[in-house]
Amino acid sequence: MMTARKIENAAQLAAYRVALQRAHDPQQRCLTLCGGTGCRAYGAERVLASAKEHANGDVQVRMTGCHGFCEKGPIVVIQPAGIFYQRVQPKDIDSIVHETIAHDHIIERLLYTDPATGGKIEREHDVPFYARQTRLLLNQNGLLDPTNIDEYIALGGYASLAQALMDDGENIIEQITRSGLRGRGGAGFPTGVKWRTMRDGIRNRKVEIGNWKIQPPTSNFQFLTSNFQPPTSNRGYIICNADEGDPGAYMDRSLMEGNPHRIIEGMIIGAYAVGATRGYVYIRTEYPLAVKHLRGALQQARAWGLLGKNILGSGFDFDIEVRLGAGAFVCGEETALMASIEGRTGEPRPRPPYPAQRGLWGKPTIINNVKTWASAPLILERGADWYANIGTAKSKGTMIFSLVGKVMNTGLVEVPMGITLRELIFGIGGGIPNGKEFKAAQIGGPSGGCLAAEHLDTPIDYESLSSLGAIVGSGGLVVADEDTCMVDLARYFMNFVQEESCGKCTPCRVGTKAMLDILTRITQGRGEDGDLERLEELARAVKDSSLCGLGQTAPNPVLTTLRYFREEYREHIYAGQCRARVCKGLIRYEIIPELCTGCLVCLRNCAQKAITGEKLKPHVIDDALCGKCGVCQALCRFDAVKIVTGVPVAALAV
Amino acid sequence: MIHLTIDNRDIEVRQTMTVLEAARANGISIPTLCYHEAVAPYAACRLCMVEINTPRGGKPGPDRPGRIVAACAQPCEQGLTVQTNSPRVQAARRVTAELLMASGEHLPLVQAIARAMGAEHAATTLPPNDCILCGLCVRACDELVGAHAISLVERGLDKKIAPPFEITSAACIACATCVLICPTGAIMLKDIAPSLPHPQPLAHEARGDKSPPQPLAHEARGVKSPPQPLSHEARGDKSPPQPLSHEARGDKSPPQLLPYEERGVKSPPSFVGKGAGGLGSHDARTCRVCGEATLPRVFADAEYLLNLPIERDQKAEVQAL
Ligand SMILES: Cc1cc2nc3c(=O)[nH]c(=O)nc-3n(C[C@H](O)[C@H](O)[C@H](O)COP(=O)(O)O)c2cc1C
Ligand code: SF4
Ligand code: FES
Repeated sequence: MMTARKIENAAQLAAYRVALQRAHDPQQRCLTLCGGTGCRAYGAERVLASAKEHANGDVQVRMTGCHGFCEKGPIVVIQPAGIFYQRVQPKDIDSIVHETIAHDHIIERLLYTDPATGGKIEREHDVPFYARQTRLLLNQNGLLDPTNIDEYIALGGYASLAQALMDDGENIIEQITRSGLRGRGGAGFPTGVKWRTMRDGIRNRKVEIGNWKIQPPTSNFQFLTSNFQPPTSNRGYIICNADEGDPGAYMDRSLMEGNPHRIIEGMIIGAYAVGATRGYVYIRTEYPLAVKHLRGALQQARAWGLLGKNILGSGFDFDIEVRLGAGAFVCGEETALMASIEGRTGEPRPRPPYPAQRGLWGKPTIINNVKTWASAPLILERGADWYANIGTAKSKGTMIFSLVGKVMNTGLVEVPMGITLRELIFGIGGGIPNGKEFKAAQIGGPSGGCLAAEHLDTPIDYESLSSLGAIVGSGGLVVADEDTCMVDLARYFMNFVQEESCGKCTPCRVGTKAMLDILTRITQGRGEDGDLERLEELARAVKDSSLCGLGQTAPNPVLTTLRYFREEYREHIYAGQCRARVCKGLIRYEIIPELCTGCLVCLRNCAQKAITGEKLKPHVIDDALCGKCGVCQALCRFDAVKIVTGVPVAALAV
Repeated sequence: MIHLTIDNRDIEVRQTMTVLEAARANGISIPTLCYHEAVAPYAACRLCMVEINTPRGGKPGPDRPGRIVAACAQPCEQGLTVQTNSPRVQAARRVTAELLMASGEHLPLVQAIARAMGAEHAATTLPPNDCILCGLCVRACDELVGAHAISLVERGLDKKIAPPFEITSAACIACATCVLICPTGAIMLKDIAPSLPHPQPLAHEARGDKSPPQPLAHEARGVKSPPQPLSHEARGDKSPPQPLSHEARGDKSPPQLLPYEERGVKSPPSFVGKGAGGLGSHDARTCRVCGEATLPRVFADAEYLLNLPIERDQKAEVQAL
């Protein structure tokens, strides 16, 4: 890193960038190691220590952000050739340095094997997982060291900011509007329109707010939090929503860990365009690395003169503060998030007034998702028209999905809007493992819906998904195969929202519990006639009458599974059957006498002592005692234990 | 002035009104529970749901279902169409009533709501709870009293009303405003402020003394006999031994504000039984703490506050006190 000095204007920034690029030898061998949370969990830090030990003068070692293919971590890429090594252990470093880096010799055993062809793949961009993606937001994650602002600047960082500061805010908003960018936090609200509302509000004060008796901006426990004085900002605020609480989603985390400056740059541009003077990043405490990288990046940006007073000599003042959330899912909802920043209970409030009219501390406030902010510099750099060319008619740009569940390649994938589920799951995801059948895709997390095989060829965009009852949401994508019970899946998500409901409004607080009760009963084999109609009635009422998005979308998984997998629900209730053999109340373990050798293994290991039998004679499982733990099936070497479902169980007989 | 349509009636209202206010001003009733005109709308109970169509989307019809919103927090808007009783609204309200019954089936108020909405069975069973989480007490304490002594804590089904850390709050001035505004009688002063002195009829009033309550130190300490030889006076000490608890907090006036006196009103206005929430009666004339039939003065003040006709500036005035 070059010495910190304030960059005073756009020309100096450009000169600084040229100097950085000159100082960098493009042929310099560089061992880049993924430092994302996934790879760290696989031991990337030990690999890094080993790399630092082995590296000699010719090799640069760099820890970057997440590459996205977390399942194969720790990932090492040798630049500039782009040689891709996966599942690298500390002991492998020696050979990487002495063979690959010194003699361009590829180490076969560390290469990725394409499961489709069985062939080894050398280069990162040839790996099918990456080859089919359009990585606009994630592209720099694997290239730069997120703790060093110079690397971001060398790659062209903060050029959009310099350009924006010479432009008029009106023009910037015009470009964002024309690009068709829509909020990536879930609802897909047009970002340009939101920014325009706030700018107009600040400029002309013509926003119709009305005589709102909204809650006074005081802390409930004022005397405890007396240092929580609203900062003096006579204009407005912008907020980056980094509360990412969907189970299984981690794209915002990955961006913050891997490329924090892109988000900061986007926020400064946005603040300048709308005329805000202060920004917040609301991030969950559970993301320590993201917090660390973001805080470090803010500090560097300040030292470089890109944040704070008189940014790049433009006369524009703006600063960003990091606020930690305590991990309540509902605090991702914008009004709850603002309440939380103000020091009050994280509860949503009714809108209007919308935050852009009256937000944080009563001032106009723009709140956007991490990915939305990170898209802004990109749009200014490459042009609104370029961005508007990616995607579908109404949904532009790319979307990051976190692809998980029963799919070969799991990880973060960035694809253009309008891609089909089939391409996502079978193309990039490599299909369903173990030759199983695709059954459903739960898209959009707990607020989203379950799509079936018939929807595999639907393009994924805001409109088409909402017409199917799902949402793009934050981009969670869980793939289910034939071993997944759809009723159980609906129950899982209902349990999540029931626990995360803030409890403010009656429909969500009690309604989710009422729905969960019915779902639980059905999965336990105690479903009743009329349950499905009752579920639908509750779901509709909760959807209609909940206060915030959490309650309004909470019934989506139930409604979509009822719509596309109703037969499975009916089997549970009327035939005592769980076709995926998941619901414990509806399955029995049975020993097939012809296959059982009477080896006593299962009998000895059954914790419930539910198995009887003698040596060399077929054993029998007593269903009344059986705890359905499956140990017998796992231990049986003769494949004699089978799961049976469909015969009326005790509860049904009653 | 703006025009909107509520239940096919053309209505003219001030722009700053909510749909609920507009409806009520025109004799159209919408059930409410968490709404009280003395405090800001909270939009939590979801009984006041109505179906709206904004003028931007064209005429409502079967192909264009409206949005279901809470009338108490929805601003009036030029050209808005409101249905207060559409089938969807009725279904939503009935389910909400069934959900309220889950923990409040024993409450007369909830029973009345359920009857009105046609709800027959609780949607699920939860431990019986007098508190229906309408949040009126919290808002009253914040906005009317300015004490911020209680809050909604925890999340989801565990949500409840409590002082900070669930221990007696120094911020509570035992004014009983929360007790009065509670529509179900769930909140008891002794729960919130168990160690604070319960505001008894002041001794000088019992004596028929009109003069402002002097700090009767010995009485505050629970000593019945006249002060006669006070030990600190015997010592030549002029000041009373201990400041009263409200004085210790820097509060000059005796336990609570008497706004009507400042406006030159001599006697506290009588309680007109509007009660909180409109539905169900809560017997505000009986003290819930001691069971006495008439309210001590502080209670009467709280009662007065709650019955203020609410105009913006007056509310600010009350808050400023
Ligand atoms: C229950 C709930 C949770 C939410 N969580 C998040 C979140 O974690 N991150 C996020 O960006 N938006 C979240 N949102 C959406 C925000 O309310 C808001 O719409 C979004 O931050 C706006 O930014 P955008 O326009 O860039 O999408 C959540 C909404 C709800 C109702
Ligand atoms: S819908 Fe759920 S999360 Fe949202 S305000 Fe109501 S109770 Fe809270
Ligand atoms: S939500 Fe409007 S009165 Fe409760």
